[in-house]
Amino acid sequence: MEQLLKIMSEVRPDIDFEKETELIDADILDSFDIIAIVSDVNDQFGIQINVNDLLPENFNSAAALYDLIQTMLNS
Amino acid sequence: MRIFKAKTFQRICSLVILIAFLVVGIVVMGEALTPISYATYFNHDIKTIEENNQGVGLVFVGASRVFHSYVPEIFEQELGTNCVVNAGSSAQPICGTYYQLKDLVERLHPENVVIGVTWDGIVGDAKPNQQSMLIVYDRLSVSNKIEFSFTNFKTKNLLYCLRPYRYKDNMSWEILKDNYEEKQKLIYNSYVADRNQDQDQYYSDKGFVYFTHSCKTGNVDIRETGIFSTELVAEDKLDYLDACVKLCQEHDIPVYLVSGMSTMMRLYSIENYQEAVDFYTMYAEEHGIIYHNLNYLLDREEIFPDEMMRDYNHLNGEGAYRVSKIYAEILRKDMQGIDTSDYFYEDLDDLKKDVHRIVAVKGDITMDETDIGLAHVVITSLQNEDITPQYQLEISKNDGENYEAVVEWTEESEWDISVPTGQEYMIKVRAKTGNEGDAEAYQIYTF
Amino acid sequence: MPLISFQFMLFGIITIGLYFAVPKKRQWIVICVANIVFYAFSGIVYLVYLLFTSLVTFWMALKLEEIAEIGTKLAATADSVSVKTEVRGSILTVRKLLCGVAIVLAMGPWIVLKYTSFFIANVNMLSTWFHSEWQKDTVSWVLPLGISFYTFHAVGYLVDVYRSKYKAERNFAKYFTFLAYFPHITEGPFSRFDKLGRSILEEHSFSYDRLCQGCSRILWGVFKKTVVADKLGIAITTILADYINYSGAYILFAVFGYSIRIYADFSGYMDIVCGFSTILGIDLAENFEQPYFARTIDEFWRRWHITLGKWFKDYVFYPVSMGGVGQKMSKMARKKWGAKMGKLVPGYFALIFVWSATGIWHGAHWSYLVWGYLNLLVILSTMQLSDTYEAIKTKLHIKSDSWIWQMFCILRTFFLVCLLRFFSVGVGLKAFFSMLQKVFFEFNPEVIKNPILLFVGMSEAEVCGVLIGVALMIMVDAFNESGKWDTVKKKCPMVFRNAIYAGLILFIMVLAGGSSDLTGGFMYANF
Repeated sequence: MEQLLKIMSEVRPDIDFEKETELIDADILDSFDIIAIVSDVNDQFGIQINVNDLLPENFNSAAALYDLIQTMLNS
Repeated sequence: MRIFKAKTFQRICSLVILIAFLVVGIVVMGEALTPISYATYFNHDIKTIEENNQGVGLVFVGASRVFHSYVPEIFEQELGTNCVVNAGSSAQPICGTYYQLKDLVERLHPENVVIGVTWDGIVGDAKPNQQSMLIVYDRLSVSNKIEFSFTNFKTKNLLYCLRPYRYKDNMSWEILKDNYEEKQKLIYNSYVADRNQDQDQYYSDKGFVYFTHSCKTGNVDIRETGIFSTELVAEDKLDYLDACVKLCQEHDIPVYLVSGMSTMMRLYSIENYQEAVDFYTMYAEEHGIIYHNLNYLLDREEIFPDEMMRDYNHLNGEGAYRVSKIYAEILRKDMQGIDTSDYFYEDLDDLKKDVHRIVAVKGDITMDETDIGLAHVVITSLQNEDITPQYQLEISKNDGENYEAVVEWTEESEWDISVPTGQEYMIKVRAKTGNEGDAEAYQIYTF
Repeated sequence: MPLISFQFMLFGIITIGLYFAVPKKRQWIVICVANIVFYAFSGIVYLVYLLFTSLVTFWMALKLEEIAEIGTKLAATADSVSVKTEVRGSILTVRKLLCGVAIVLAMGPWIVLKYTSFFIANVNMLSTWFHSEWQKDTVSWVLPLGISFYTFHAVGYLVDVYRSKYKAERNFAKYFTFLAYFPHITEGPFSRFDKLGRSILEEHSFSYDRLCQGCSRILWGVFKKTVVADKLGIAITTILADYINYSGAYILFAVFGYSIRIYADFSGYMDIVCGFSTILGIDLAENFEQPYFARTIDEFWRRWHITLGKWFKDYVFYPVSMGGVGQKMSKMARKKWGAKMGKLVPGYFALIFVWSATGIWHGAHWSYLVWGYLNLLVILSTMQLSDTYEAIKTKLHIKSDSWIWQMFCILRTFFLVCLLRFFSVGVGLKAFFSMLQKVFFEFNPEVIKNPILLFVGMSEAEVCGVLIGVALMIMVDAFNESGKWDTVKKKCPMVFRNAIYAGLILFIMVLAGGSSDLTGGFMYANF
């Protein structure tokens, strides 16, 4: 989880990812942020998040993204 | 429940306030944008009559030949009655006549009604002109306005009932200021119309409009000819005429039909004119009412020359006074049950026996397509069958000061003539009977 | 059927009446029938194209779901991981292929009908360049109503099902009701099946509050369109059609006026359709978010035609930037230019596709493409130079949240948007430069002494209407931007609110449309 938070904060140091739960719904992250985060996550966790996974429920908060990563690692 | 009722009450209030604002806005803007028209005067006159509770002895309804022709004060004098109203309006369709009549019967309770009827007002499937409908609309009370517009207007034209929409082109400071000043002047002058003889026309009294222009005898242009036939009579228009008669009869108001005076040209140029007269004569008989066609007044050729006309179809002010005197007398006798057939010719042929001139002439002038200095002229004229017309053509190159003959008097009616090029000129077409005398009819065309 | 007409008003009233009269389960059927009636007005023959696209995407979506289910079952029964992976891989390939075929079929009519003449014109141009005599006559085909919108809706639905975002709709009539939903078929907004489709298929009770909200929104939209957009259009069209004879001041006026006009027109239309949907209880996505308050071009495109941007983001930007090519480019860029560029380059690459598509979607002409790429250029340069700009700002002691700076950014963006828009007008490169020249070298500011002259061909009242309308639009947008609009609406006294409504209606009554068309004006004063 800390690794994920580190990735996200590197992309957008101005956001408190521990608190925010509407990163997509409130347009806090823009599309460039998302592809940067996804690229880093894919590299560092060795998974392949693709465009099909770009749902608000997966990206609205750091916790949600962490769940997605866990699911992909386990399957 | 209380909350629901409070909310409903609030909503109703809100809706009522919105409608109130709209109505006020439409009325105020309508008043500001509407220019003065005859309806302004007319509505004022009717309101005054209502307020003074004057009895109304006679009401005229119908189209333009009504409001051009019947002088209220003359009828008041002749019939010994309080008040006569002339509620004719321009191109009034028969459905409009019905609503105008209904409105005045409800508001003024007139003792008698005269309905102006025309050969062309009862035929054809063409829908009435929207402007003429609106002219009537402007003269009705609110409830009749609503009924008239919803039964006779096309849906998309209903918007024109709202004056701000109708007059939206007047939306400029200048026009608003002018309107305001004119209306102030009018109110200050107690709505007395300007009897300025320099004006071509002015609202005279209780709906009657005085027209100053005079035609010259023989100078009436042959135009808007047509044909009458009982087969062309439109059902819906006839229904409205029936409704008018029925309305009067239900209110025990004696009703009379009249065809107003027009130029001799019209009588000669409308095909089957006598059939139209017969149609109304029969109609009147069937309904137990009286019909007169004032075009058939005895000696009308003398009494109503073209100088009594304002244009090809309407009397001018002088003609109106003249015909009103005669018709008022006829109407009084009709009301007293006295036979008035002696005042009239029997039919069109009978009338034509007293016409010994070329009634009207027309030249159709077309430029040759290849040679600009050449014009082709075809002349037509209206006269009795036993008259052989002679024609002449003249040209003026100095704005009508002098004319030179191009073709001398001849029975030929079709020529090619050479015309000036590169300058303005006028062609005069002339017609007369026989070898003697001078032109009886003429027309001038400017190029 | 034009939206501002007696016809549509009657149609709308009947639809709303029926909608709330029928049993709630059948409400969507009323919409379906209304869709067909509305579409038929534009020419019942064009229904064929709509049906084709809807049938293709409907059927294929079901098939894709079926194949996915088969794949899942097979994978579950597989003994080894390698077999599982292989099964999954094959299923993916098959689904990808089928999806691709369906997209081509669904988009086919749109591409052919809209772009064939452009294609032919370019081929003819190439032929001339290569000194060949071969020329083909261009075609001029009528586009079926809303083809640029429903095609995208259909493709979006198909791709969403392919991505297993939601389940495919099993009832064709229900799917068709979404696709052909008449408020959004002509000019959008671009909708998604899971949001709008669900909303349409849900049951709705009549709500007086929603009726009022919807009506006031429709009123506002009609006002913007008829009093501001249509009237301003008179002056702008006159100036642009004959720009050679107008000085720079007029052209500058037309530049700004065009942007205001298109905003009033488009957002007005959106207000009408959203207002109408509100009455039914159906939520349409917003397309505008005070766009002229944007501080950068990038932000502008997130506030203007929002749903188009979102569509391209979901169906072009992400697939390209996160796809194989995008990832390869990312790695290459990281090696050459470092981590930061490694992250930006796939996005830049994807943006080229997005802006090509955005440009060409707006019109089949090179000027639209150029306009798209110019927008892209501005956005890319802003992103690349963001550090430089920050450095300059720090040096000049400019605070980002100072209102002067904010104002500057807003005005700068507005000006840039206006300028760029000239390409999308289809005016052409030559005309554009000629106009620029006039603005800078033939400004002739005397006309500013009598500014009403700028409104060429418009009456006093129309100018008044436009100025008041624009002032109101700015006020409403300003309140919305500060988030205070809802509070203002709630606190507004009922009397004042109704006075405004009455005022708007009166403005529309007096200014909408051309001159009173009863034989050229209503001058019958002498009768």
